[in-house]
Amino acid sequence: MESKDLDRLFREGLDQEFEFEGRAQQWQQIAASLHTPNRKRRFAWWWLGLGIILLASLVLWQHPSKETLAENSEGIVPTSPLETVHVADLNTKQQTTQKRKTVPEKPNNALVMPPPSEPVLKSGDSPDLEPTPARILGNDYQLPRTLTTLLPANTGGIELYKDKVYDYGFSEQEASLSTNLTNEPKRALLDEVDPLPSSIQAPQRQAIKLALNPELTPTKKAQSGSLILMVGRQQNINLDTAVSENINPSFYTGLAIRLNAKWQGFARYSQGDVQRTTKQAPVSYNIPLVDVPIGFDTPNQTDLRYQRRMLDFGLRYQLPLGRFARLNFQAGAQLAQYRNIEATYLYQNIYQIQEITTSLPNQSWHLASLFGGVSVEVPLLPRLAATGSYQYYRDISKTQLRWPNSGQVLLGLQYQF
Amino acid sequence: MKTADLPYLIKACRENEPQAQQQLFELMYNYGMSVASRYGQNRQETEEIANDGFLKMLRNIHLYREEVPFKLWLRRIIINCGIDHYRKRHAHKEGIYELHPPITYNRAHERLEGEYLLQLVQHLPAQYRIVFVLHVIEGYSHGEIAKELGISKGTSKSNLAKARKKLQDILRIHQQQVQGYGK
Repeated sequence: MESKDLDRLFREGLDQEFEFEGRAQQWQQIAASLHTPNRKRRFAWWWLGLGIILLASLVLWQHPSKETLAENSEGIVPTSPLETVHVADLNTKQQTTQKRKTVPEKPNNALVMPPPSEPVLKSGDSPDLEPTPARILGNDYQLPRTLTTLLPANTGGIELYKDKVYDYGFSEQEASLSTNLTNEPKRALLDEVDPLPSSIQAPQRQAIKLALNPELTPTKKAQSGSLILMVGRQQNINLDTAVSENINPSFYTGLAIRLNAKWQGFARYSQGDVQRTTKQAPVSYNIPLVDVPIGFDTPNQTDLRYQRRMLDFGLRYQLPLGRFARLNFQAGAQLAQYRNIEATYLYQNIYQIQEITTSLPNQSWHLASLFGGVSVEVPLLPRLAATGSYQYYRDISKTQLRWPNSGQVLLGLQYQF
Repeated sequence: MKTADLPYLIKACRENEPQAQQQLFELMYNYGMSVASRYGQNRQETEEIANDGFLKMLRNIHLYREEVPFKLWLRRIIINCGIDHYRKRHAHKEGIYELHPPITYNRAHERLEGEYLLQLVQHLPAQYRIVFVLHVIEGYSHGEIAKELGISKGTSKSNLAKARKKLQDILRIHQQQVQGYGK
């Protein structure tokens, strides 16, 4: 049979309408796809809650006071034998003297100071040496507690010591005194009591100050080199009016390292799915054109779906913001990787609509953007802070996919080790 | 449902009326499946291609222009779905010959009815079938086919020649069976 006869045979035979069955079932499938609304992922609040619980557990699991003091005081915990001492109350009503040394009387002296050198107190000692609870405010105010600690004594046994108490508590009846117990008087107090007795060594001196006022900036040595873990959620903000986006919020995680009192270096990783649609020429965004149909030059609309991984690294400069918060200015660069890229090109003219869907090659890690931004940190616990930041990204890709302007809002937590 | 109701159906579908969408689907069902069946190797593939085509038809109904016959517009959509289906499923298998069960001859095929010819075409390897259908049935040139499928013009011509040869061989066997049937 000649080719043209064969062609004619099949053309006449196939170019007709056949009867098919099963339309009801097929319609059910089509209707289900047609009427299903776009399901947007909801923000998994429980993820954030779980992260908060985990970080809070980590914080609370760590033993407070001595270990913290040890870290901040270069490993030296004030273990010198201490004795509670009597101090004058704020009103200087009455000064009780005991057979022990007391700190110099000051009107607002609420600090219990250790004696320069005292013998180890042992149980069963002379009653004269028996320590009594310290009085901080008022004659009739008794400390709610005294801290007793078991510490190995130089004598080889375990002795009971009475620690000095750093307590700014006050009874409810003396609420009027609370106004005196603000930060300013504390700082004034510290200035007043400093110089401390000369027998107190520098590490102990620093430890005392930090225990009294943890808001003090730690020493330079303790500051640099400390690691900060960051976790949170980020959301893209589209700044390009020619592009519509559907980018779900994604998690980020990262590490920062404190370089000095003001500077930190950081690296942050995130990944997520991206869908972007543009009616501009794909070449504007470095989107390759594939399988352009006859009669068309450029698609009317291009839709891209892909997975991206991003690694931001940069520097941030920290400034105090008011009394409790910190303001950061940060800048850096972003590396990006794009995978599983699927492009759909819509070509349309008066005669036809054609939709070409194709997979594009993966794009390996490359320098994608430069960014800059600001963030605010609000401490929640001594080592835990909540952060919120805004960053602007400027794409600098030459050959890879590029989205010239975009922003990101990040909300998260950070924990300093 | 009659073809004369088509403009009203299209207008109602543009307003996303579910009933109108179903009626339009019912009206175009046999036609759409017939076009899709040339690109699918079996009933399952045919349904997939047709479903994609109908879905695109309903979602993009607002883009349809009345200057173009509706069936022609739907046909182009389904052809593109067929090409997409080929690219996703079969393009990477080029060179791999799939085995098909032999076509059983019966008297209904004596007059080479359309359904039988459809079976013969579905029996071709995917890369031959799509070139044959696009060139012979749809009228695409080799250059257009090469662009659509991402192959060279030479490959398109070669695949068409191989498709024709396979069909000619099958038809020769068919002729022999017709002549020898009942003997």
